[in-house]
Amino acid sequence: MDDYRRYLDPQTLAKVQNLDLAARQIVEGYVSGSHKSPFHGFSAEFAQHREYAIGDDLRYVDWKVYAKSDRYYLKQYEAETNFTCYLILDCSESMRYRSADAALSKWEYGRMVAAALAYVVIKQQDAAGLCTVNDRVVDFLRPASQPTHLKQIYYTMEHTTPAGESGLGKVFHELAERINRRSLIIIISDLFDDLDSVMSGLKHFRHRKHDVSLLQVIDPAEQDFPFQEPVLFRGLENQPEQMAEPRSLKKAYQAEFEQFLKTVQRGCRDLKMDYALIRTDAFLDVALSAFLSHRQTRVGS
Amino acid sequence: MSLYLPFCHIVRRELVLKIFPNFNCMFEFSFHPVLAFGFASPWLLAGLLAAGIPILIHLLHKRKFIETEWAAMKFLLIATKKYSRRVRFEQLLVLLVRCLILLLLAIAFSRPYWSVQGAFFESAAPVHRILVIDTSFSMRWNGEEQSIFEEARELARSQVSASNPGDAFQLIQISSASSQALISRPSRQQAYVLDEITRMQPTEEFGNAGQALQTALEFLGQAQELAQKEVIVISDFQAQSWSPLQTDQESSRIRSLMEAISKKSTLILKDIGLAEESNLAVIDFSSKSVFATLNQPVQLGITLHNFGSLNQENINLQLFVDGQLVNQKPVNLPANADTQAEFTHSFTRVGDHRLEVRLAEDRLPLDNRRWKIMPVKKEINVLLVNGRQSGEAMGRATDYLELALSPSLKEQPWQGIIKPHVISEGELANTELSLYDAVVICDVALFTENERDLLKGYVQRGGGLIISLGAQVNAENYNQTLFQPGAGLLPLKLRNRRGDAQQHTNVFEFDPLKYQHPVIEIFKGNPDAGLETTHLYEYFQAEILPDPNTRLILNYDTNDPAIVESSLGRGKLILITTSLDRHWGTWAIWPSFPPMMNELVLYVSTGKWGKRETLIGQPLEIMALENQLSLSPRMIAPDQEEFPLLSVLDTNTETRTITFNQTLQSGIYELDWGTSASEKTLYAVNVSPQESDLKHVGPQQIPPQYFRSQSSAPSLLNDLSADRNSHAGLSENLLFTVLALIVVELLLLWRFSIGALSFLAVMFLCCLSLFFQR
Repeated sequence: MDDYRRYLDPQTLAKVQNLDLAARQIVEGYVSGSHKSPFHGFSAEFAQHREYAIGDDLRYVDWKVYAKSDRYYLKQYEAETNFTCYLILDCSESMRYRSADAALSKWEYGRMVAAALAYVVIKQQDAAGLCTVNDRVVDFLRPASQPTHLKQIYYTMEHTTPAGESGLGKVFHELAERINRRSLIIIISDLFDDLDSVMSGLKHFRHRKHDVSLLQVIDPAEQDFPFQEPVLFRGLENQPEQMAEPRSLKKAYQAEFEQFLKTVQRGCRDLKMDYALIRTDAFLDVALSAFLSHRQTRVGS
Repeated sequence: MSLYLPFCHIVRRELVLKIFPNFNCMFEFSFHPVLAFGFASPWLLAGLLAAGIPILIHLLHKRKFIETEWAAMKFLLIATKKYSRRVRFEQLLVLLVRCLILLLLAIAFSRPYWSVQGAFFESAAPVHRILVIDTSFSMRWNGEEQSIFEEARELARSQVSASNPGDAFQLIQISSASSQALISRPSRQQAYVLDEITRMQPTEEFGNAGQALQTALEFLGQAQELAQKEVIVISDFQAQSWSPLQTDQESSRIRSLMEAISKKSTLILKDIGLAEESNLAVIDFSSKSVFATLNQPVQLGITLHNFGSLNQENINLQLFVDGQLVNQKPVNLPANADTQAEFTHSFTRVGDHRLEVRLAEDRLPLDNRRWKIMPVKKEINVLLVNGRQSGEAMGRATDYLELALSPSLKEQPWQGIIKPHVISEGELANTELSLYDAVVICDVALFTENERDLLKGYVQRGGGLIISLGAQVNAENYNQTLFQPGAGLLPLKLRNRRGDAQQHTNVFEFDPLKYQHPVIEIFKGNPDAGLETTHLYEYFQAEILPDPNTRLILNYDTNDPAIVESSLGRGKLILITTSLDRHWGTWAIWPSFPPMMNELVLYVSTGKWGKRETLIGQPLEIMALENQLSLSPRMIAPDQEEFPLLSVLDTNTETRTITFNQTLQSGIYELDWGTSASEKTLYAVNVSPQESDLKHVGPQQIPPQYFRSQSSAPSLLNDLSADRNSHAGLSENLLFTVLALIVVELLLLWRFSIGALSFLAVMFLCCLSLFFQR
């Protein structure tokens, strides 16, 4: 058990430069740990038996059951869907942040999660697309299910540097207009942006009947605020500098931050979206299972 | 004013005079608290600097910071904006508490005190108290049970006993000759101060109140750490000491000193003086004769004074000679007046005699006795310097004088005390002059400067010199040697000779100048003595230069000076401007000549005897002879205490005098030269008559607005003693507050709201405890 988790440790993964290898390692590690295929929930899924009625297509009669029980039963399957998945990855400057104790920056971590998810999706013959955004759409890879596309996704992510200010709300609106087909949209971001505008963008997605999942990636320092000495915080994304006495400000900051997370969570719930908060010090399986289990539940229902 | 009137009528007055700049201020005093604050160990206040440490750390802490990039800046900015005031307030409160801890700690170690006087509080602070106790001899006045000095001492002891442990004391006695500062450094040792007070004794001196107040004022500058200061004066407030009538300057000085003291401290005057001011005293005991001769009656004059409002009759006055009662008589002493009394006594033994007059004892016995020394001489040695030799009988210049002084006949030797000895003018330089009581120069032509210096030294040491002139005298030489201005013996100039002794063209007579000089007093009313009918034919005109020591004894009827007297050093000298033989007149054979010469010789001889009496505290001047300079004399005081006079050789060799200053007791002092051959020389020391007048200083001397009412006086004293009992350390209070603040600081860091509340509570309790500390 511990052995496979080793591959999911951000500390270990930080050493893996190849995103392909990292994604594979994550997924394989996750699979060998759970002993359960991650592909079940997506296609050609047996659902139930139903007694034959006149007019039913004989193709679906389960002859094995007939042979055993002399009754006609039909095999029913989940509707086989060929869905498309958009991975929207925030590449604004704030994603560049990596605290001293963290092995990966938010960008690196989010990129790894995106890679793993793309791997899973394409492995089960579905189409995965990638969209890196800050205050605009930086890269947009249309969804495809070819294994070569996976490489392209990896390549794009590896060659993207997080920079620029966040403008997720505007970008979400733009993407919502751009993506016509109902799709699964997985957003990986720290959401350090104007929350109202972000929510408005997400709402637009939902309005266009997209299935949206939000993976909020944060650095542990952003939540724990572990500083002791006075710190000069230099803001990313053109934010001003601020000298602060962390010990006295900690509570106030944390209160603000938790309030932000709660607002996000509540917003996602209201929009009936999947939401998972992932800290960059968490094992990758946590991120994946949080996502996949949610997906399974939703697909199954 | 009416506030003080009862005070004036109280018989045994215990005044507490609180001196304030004016009456209005004093009135306000009783209603408005006066705050005093100080530290017992102010140097420890340097610890206050430690309060800067938290601030310093705070500032240094701010300067040291790390830098980091930060993504979640939005939340940080919101938190900072929203909570920065509160955070700053929290920080400041914690900083304040930390600073307070160190501040209060430093203050607590500095042993602070505060005092609030007035209606609400009284002092709890240590007091710097200066006790000024009158030890002048009027304090020896005996009451019913004890003397008023003992009463004063008890009062002082009670003041010290009732003091707080932190109080500092200094002790001053009101005396004149003795050292006034008994404890010159503030002492906090109660036992030591009590011991010093117990050992205090009344002196026999005059009380110099001004000097004592000056000392007190100087002492107020000490013990700066004690803000509350008191000067407590315990005295009989005798008018002569506190408001000397003879000098307005001294009186106003005392008043200004009291004002100066009252500005710097609380001046409390405790009057233990007398309501009844009756006292009898012998204020003078004298004789016209500086010395007496054997079996010759000597008149002794005594001045008595009744310092009281009632006449005293039949008071016994006794005369003791050498400890033996030799005479007594009753005297009547009218109130507030001098009374003269007289005794006559003949001495039968040569040497110094102790004379004492004693008036019947009263409440102040010290001034009822007075002492005097009467030296009795067997012979007076007079050196006659003859300037004109002659083979004829009575031809020398000194012959008539010798006969006048010692009219011996072969069959009947002269029994008088004057023993003349004639030398020629050439022998003068080789003669030991100190063996003679007087030297008479007769018609000596010239003097060398050496002879002049010899004579000058002799006179300065107390010798008597009579210079008579004559036909041989070289006036120019005299003016250059004997009468040289500045270096000479007499401040005069000889001019021309007047008259003609050969032709008898002019006859001059003496003008006695109303017999004012004591030497010619015997001729007054005695025309048969022939002083005014003395005929003189020639004399030297002399111009007397202005000099305070020079006075005329006799003039000629031409208004030229005939006999001039002056003094030099301790000695006396007389110039006779005519001759003492028959060459220039008939005076030598005239009846006035022998008594005049005797009187003149005795008069100039007195200088050598010196002054044998002095007052308490004033120095005695002791004459030493040439052969006594190598001795080790010692002075024996009336209480038999011995004072070695080791400084004989260091003293003024020219005048050969020793000054003895330890005259702190009245009575007879004996000077023992340390040789069996010489007899002891006696000296008398008497008390100052000023202290005998017990008249009390009144409100007219100390301005009435300075007085507090009698009723408020004890309350002040009670309050003062209550202060001492209620003394509670402010330090302990502060230390408790520090402890509480340390807990508060922890609470502030744990839960700010709880910490802030506990801080308020601690501050409130601290203030409350300070408020009710006493």
